Amino acid sequence: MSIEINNLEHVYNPGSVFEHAALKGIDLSIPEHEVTAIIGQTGSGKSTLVQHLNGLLIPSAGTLDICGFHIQPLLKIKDVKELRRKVGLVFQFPEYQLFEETIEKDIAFGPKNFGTEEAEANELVKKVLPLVGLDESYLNRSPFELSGGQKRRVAIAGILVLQPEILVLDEPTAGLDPKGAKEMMSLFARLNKEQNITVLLVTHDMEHVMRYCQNVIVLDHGKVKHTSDVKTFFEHPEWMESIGINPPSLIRLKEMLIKAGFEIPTEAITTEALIASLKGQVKSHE
Amino acid sequence: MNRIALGRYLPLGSIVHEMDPRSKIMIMLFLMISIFIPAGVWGYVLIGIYIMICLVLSKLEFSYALRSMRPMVWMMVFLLIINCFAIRTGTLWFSIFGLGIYSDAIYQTLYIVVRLTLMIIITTILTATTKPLDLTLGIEKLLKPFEKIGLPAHIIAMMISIALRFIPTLIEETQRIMNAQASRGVDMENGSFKEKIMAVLSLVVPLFVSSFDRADQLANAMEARGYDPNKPRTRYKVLHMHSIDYVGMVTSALVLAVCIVLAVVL
Amino acid sequence: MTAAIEVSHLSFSYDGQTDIIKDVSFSIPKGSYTTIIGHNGSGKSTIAKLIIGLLAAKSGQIKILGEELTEESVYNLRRHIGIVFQNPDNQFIGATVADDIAFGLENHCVPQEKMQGIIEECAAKVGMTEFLDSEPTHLSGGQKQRVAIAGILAIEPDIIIFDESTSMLDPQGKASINAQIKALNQEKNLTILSITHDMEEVAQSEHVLVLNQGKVELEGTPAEIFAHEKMLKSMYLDVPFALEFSHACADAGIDFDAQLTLDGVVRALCRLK
Repeated sequence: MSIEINNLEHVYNPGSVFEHAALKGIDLSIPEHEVTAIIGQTGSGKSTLVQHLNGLLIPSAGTLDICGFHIQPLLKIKDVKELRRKVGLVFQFPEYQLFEETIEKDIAFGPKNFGTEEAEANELVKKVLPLVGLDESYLNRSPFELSGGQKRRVAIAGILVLQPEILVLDEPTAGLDPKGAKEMMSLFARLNKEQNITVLLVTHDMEHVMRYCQNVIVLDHGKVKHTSDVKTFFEHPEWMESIGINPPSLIRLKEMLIKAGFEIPTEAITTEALIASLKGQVKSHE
Repeated sequence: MNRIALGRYLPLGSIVHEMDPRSKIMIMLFLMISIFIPAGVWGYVLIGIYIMICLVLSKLEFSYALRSMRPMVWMMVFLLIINCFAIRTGTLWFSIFGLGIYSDAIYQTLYIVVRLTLMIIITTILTATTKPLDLTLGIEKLLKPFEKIGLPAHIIAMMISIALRFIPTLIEETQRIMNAQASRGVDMENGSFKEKIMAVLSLVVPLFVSSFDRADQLANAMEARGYDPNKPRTRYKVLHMHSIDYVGMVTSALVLAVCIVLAVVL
Repeated sequence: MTAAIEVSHLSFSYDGQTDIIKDVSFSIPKGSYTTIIGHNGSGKSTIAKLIIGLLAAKSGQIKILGEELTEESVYNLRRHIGIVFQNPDNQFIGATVADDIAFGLENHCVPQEKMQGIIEECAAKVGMTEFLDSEPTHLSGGQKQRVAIAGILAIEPDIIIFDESTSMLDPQGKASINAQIKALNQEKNLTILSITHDMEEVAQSEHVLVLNQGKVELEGTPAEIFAHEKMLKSMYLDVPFALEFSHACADAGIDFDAQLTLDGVVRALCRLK
């Protein structure tokens, strides 16, 4: 079952001077078992949209079908609690959600909230640790003595331990160094491949979109501006520029080469394809 | 959030907004003292008229000032009930359910209600017409003379202004952590007592951790920019008294004087 | 000529046992643009804090503009050196943009009547004139970092340190701050020391220090540094895309000198037409 969103609207503080429509009629169908990027400028409605996916926000109008739940206006929190288990939502800087004395307790906090027995929760913790690249020696350490990157992995383990069907990540690599960012992204790619988890990635980093995602959703001012597969997306750099996002280096190079008079086919969006198309146009040898 | 009127700055651009925060604080002090002087009905009439003039000059609506009293209504009702039981002097006016209601009980309650109302309106005028930072600066300047006896006025003012600066940031942070924990199944509203304790802990601990982080980074940034609490500083914002400020202070001092006279004569 | 920053045999440790910085020496010429790279935990940010005097060295010496950094001299030296930190929120001290720019001026006892002019001038330099009365909650991360830069420019320093100042910004914010840094170096002749993960920024600097486990591992121009591609990768550092693309071209039989910028690649390819 894919995620089906129909005419979703969300208005903050309705009826007050601070009334603000963050989402204005979103129609989307997000395929399962794939990695989909959600991009857009600050204020485009990305965060509001992802908070609907696990029932943190209830729509003002429209509907949302996800993991067998039919979300519509006026639902109560009680009605959607189980959805939070099926859709794991990782916020920006998730290391700031750690609070327990030991890593084991912190990761087990989620399952216990959903009624899992302590012993069983601890078993789940042991299973999830290696997924985020940590071993059992960490179980009894305090989360607060870890490095920033490690803390973030513990926090993500705290969501993965709920065994979600869908994982939603809001800027998961913000503030990490290139090494940490790469490890983080390959973790999500692996989860998607090996465990078939549907991954939704909110990001500004087009290099990550290019390397790890299959589909792209572009939001602008609370509306869906484009949805496409990643290949079509990068064949249209003007889509990125129209919402003020810098295309990845490869696409920028391609555009610059076209401007300099080279003939580059639209579908050349990999280093290999770009070089192959250059070959007949410049001096080269084998 | 947006329904709370008490303590909010409203940029209405009135003559009261233009006044020096120091004089506004002084006027407030004079009026507060006047309110607590037992000057009888005429004292309260005088103060009431004075405050109404302030309210009109500050372009605030009367209903807005009253709205800031909403949280106090239940307290007042409670007070009335207590007084009805406790005060049994004066003339017996009527009785309900066998309980005699005496005139003094009503008068006493009325006095307190009038006092509270006047005080809340004064505070509302002050906070609605003065930006928090100007208020801080005003307090700092007024406390300046006390630095001689060791009161660190400028440090207190710096602390207040940084606290004010970070309130919105911390509200945002709280919201984010609450959402993050809700995504881990925390339910802030339902659940057993033990679950509620855990829910609160899961919010408070991360909030503390991140606030300490922030404080540390902020201290570094301040120090790197040359801040030293023990060294003299110049100030960007300067306060200027105008004739309206002197008029305000003199008239409010007069109100106070009249109230004292009334209290002595009565 | 005296160097802007002269670090000799600097060591530092937080706990008195393991040294985070191990006998580091380097010199940064006046008016130069230097970047420091290294993965998290290599000691980069610690060096920045030592130079600005927020941490005290265990041994070794730091000279700023020829004067030794000591507990006595640090307060005066801070008139000559400013730092922009990573988190835009946690270095915004004033209630509004104007107040924040004024903060450094107040600390350094600049007369009040001169402040308004300086504030307006510095806000204009970073393109924040129309936001002077704005509160920080209404600004983007990139705008807050611009204000931080304006606040430093206000005290007319000789040196500005950027401590991962763009790492929490979105790509637009990053690009605009990078352009700002470059302009400060070229137009105002300010000495820039920038700690960064952004290889595009490294490519635009003049001089690079590579830090690994508390030591200076490599030092040189960006071209010299990126020639050690394997070594950088072993330290978990990236290289600019243009360089990787140059190598890929060479492997495919298109030969030109390895380039660090996209412009360079396009120019090289045009010559081969």
